[in-house]
Amino acid sequence: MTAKAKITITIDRDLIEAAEAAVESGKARSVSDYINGAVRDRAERHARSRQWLDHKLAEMRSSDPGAFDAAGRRAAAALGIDPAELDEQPGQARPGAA
Amino acid sequence: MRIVDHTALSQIAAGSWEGLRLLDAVERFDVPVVIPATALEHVARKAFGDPDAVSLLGHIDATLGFRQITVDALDEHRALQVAEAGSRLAPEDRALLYAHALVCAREHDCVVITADSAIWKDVAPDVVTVELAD
Repeated sequence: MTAKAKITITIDRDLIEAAEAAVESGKARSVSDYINGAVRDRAERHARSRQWLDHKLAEMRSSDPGAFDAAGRRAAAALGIDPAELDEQPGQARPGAA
Repeated sequence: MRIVDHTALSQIAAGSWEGLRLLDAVERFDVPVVIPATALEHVARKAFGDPDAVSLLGHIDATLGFRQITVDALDEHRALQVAEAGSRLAPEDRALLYAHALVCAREHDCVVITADSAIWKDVAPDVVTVELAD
């Protein structure tokens, strides 16, 4: 079992009520359990999405490196970021990024 | 902050290379972007019936660092003005999508990421656009 830690968080009142209702109806063991599950679902969904995108990017890069780079330059220009930065670690999370 | 209009969002949903690299950059660099609610609804409607596109929309909708801002209270008068201008170039429902993005762009003083910059130039020449296309 993953180790637990106590933290103080602030969440919307309607979400607290939803968590309490889930506990009352037996769908969750506790409010903490309910929130723990929600955060875990989100983290796992994000990880799956990132994995999926990394796979697509790897496919693109191997099939046509030139077009991959051109698409990156266009995307970087659209976002106003340096294309060289974009290609430093394609498909990898930048250290410190949220 | 940048606005992703429905044409650029469609590119992402369709899995275009530019679209996927944009998605990657937004997530890795934590770039704040706005997706007008109308654009999301439009792409969602178009994507139904295509399981792959729906799956892609799931990624766009709730994950990968997109800070989606839904603009609920559209300025009705300005929206209609832009819709009228746009309706000369495109069907009215399409014009409304541009109108919504236009309101977002002007209120937040944002650049619009689009795959259809030509229509933007005609309807709203004061808005700065960047092209995202195949």
